[in-house]
Amino acid sequence: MNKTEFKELLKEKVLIMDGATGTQLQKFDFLKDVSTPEELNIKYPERIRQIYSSYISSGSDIILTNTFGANRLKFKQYNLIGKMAEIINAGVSIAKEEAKKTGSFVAGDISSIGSYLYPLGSVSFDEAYDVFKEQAAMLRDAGADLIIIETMTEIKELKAAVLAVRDVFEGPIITQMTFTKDGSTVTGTDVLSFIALAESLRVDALGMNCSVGPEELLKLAQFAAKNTNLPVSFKPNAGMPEFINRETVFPGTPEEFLAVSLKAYESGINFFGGCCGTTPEYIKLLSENLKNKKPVKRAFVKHHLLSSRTKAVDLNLLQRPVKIGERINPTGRKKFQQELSKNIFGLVKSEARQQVNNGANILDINMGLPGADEVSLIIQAVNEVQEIVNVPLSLDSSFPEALSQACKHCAGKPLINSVNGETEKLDLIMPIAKRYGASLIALTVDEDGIPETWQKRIEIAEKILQSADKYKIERNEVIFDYLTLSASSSPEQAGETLEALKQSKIRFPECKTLLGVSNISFGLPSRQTINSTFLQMALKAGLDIAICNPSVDWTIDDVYARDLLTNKDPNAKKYVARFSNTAKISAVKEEIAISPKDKLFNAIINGDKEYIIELIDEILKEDNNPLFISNELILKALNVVGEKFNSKEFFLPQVIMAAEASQAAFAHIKPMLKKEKGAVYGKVVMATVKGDVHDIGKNIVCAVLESFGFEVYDVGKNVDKEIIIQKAKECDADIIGLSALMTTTMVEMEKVIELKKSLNMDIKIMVGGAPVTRAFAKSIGAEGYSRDAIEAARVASELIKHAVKNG
Amino acid sequence: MSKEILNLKINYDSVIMRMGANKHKTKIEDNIKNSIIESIEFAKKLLKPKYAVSFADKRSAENKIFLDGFIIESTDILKLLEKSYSVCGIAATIGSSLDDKIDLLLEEKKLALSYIYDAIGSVAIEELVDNICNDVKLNKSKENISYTRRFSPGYGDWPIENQKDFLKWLGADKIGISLSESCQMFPRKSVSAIFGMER
Repeated sequence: MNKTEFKELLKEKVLIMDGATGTQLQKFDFLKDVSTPEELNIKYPERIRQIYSSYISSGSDIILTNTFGANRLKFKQYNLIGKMAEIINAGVSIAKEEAKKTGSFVAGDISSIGSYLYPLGSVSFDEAYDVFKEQAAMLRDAGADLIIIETMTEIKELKAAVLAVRDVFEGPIITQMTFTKDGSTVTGTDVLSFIALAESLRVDALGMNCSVGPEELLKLAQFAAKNTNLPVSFKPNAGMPEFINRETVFPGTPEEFLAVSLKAYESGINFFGGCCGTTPEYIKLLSENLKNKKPVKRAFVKHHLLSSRTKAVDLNLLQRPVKIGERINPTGRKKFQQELSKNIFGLVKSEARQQVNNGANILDINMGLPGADEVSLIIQAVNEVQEIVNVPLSLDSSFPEALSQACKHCAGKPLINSVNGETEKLDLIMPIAKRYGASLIALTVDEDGIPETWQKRIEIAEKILQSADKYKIERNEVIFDYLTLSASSSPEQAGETLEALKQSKIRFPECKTLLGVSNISFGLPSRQTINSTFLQMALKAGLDIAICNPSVDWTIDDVYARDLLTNKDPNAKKYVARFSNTAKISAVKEEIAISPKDKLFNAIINGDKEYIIELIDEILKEDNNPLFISNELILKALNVVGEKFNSKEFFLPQVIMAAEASQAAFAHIKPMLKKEKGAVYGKVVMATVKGDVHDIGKNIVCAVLESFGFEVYDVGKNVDKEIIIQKAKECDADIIGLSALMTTTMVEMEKVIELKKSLNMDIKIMVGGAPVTRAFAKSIGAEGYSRDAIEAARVASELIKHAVKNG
Repeated sequence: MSKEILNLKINYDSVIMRMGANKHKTKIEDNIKNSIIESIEFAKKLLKPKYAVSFADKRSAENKIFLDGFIIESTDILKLLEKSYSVCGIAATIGSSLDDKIDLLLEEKKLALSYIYDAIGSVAIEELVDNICNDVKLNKSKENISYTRRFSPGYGDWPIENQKDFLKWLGADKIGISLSESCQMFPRKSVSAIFGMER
């Protein structure tokens, strides 16, 4: 079936899907003797045939293949990768044999790979894409009529899945997410954000399955039906399962299920079926009541959505001007550049927070830093910003590869900033917008530079729209920027820009308009007076969106500025006379002079590691004495941290941050210290004992010990006693530090001590961990015990008799 | 049962207290506070709370407790359930996605953040178990029943090795909880517990 046939079919009638596979397999005890449900397809094909057949005979128009988790990542656990093609092929073939009997369709079923994509989890986008692509290609080769991507909970994973399927499969694609009671997926994606992404990636139908039972899901499906023109599917479970006395209980009944499905039908839903807990009985009821019925026509709201993981904004509905925050941009900002060159995103994040707090609807992200790897920077910035704020993003770069990668890694539907009227540029950028379904800012310049007249800018706009047509991008995805030029050097240009806005609204009413307003005031005093006045004028002329700093006053409307902008103030004489004496408010407060030594001392206490190395170098330039830095600055600062911790002024996260800052400092000065006398630091081997896989506590102790200058060899978690002892010998350690989190594993500590004794090793052992007590430590013969990381540093120091000054 | 059980709020104060902060003495700067608040919001996306409950009438003999096929040998539990006619067992988990994120943060050497996420997970599972208990009690609120406190394997003299049979009795595998040889539960933020009902 091709996409057009699918579309035509859905105009004629609603379609009945199948019911649950998994819970039916459990019910008949069909999962006996297979490692994963999909293995049935080749090991016990008759079992899966029975399930398919039960739905076909109940009236399903579409059955889903038993390939839900047939992907490389899941199959790896069961050593089934080699049989994946065979399993998928059998899953589809058997379904086709059964479907043939009634002329039903077979949907190749794809679901989550089972792990989240970065930054929610550790799987990379490309890895997930490849996994889905492989599965989709196998479903295609096996002859699936359509592909359904279902039970998805994470928007980035959905993006990878749809792109992958689209790249190998030409037939219809249905995509379904699963929602919780609060109306969003477990990872926070609401229905409108789901719609924004699914529509932008051009799926053929969208909907929801499983989730919270029919009644709750109905509200979400009805919402979807009102907000998209795409066919909508509705495949709820039979209520939220409860696990009572070892039984899985679904609270729903077939009759309730039907009643809700009928309401869904009245709301214009196109596909009906069931998920976990539903049976052929449910599907039979659906068929008897809904099969071959014509879909109910529905009205829907036409949006222009941009989205993030958890929020979709409608450009049609936002108050004018829609504000795109421009501050995540290193151009002309030294500290910003320094941070980015060290891969630090502190300022990126604080600018993101601040702009959103001040009303930015969208954030522009520009990582244009000469000499830096812009692709890597923009990917990281997108991830960092999306972790902390939920507004959609405008991805800003002149490099196509940076735009492409940023679009890919962006959770949601982004805006691309920008393309222009140059033919070469259009052919580079349009395909990116098309592939990722992004909206697109289009600058009305071309090969000849910035046109002086509004007529020429409109001409370029027309050219850009023709290019959009060529790439089958809807015209309303294009947002025109009619360019802001400095009013001091080109006083007549403001008028041209404003006229272009007006004309654009007449000629291309479907397209939104945008300006980066701040450029207008370049070289003039009291810039915000002009910026804001210009914005007011532009709004009247038809401006929709402003790229601006949302944190300043945009209500100013000044007559002097108006005269200047309407070219009635030659050479800006009157304006300059009026405003040249306005005091420029300095954004940077004068820094009180603090010596680099004090700065380093404070940086350690505050856990501020960003400029540690610069500070140390600065101090060394004045006084080349690394031992002083170690003993008088770093260690003394750490003692202050320890005191604050003991008095409860600090809690553990602050200690860890201080330790991390100190680690960075020691990493820098240790090579210099080794040449000095009097710098003796102990060696410690750290391990979490065998059987124990929880090691955050041990890692914290490692960091704190390192911060006190110890050489730490961390051999990890769940470590055999032999390996611990071996490592201690190898590096000639002074101390072995052991942690355990369970009463069942702390006995392993004693075994390490016994082994040490049997080998007559001269090495001290210290222990710690939640269930470990001082008495227990003593009873097994450990030389040291500590309650927390700070105490561990003190105990370790005492054990090697390395008296840290004032320690 | 109410679906609100799974709606975990994760209170900021509970998270900082879990990390050892003292409400009156500890001074938390804005940047750390922001980071914790943002981490809570982010971590919520990683929670997949699930639970299973089992009920059984209590029978005791020879210093053992018999619960519909499951046996507990512990004087602490005997004492706890002394007046109980029936017991409720709970297995609960917030899923493994948060564990994965913590491991990822450790790999990226973001130790402070991984510790914060770990504390958030602990608060989340605690809240989930509280919700489940409250719901069980709510459903029986008309029956004029009083309840003992909660108790888990590994505490007092209830041997942790009993965890295996306990989880089996609860059907904990159905919600994705498994057990290592040393009796550690996976996902890491999982809890099993029991409490008694008294008339």
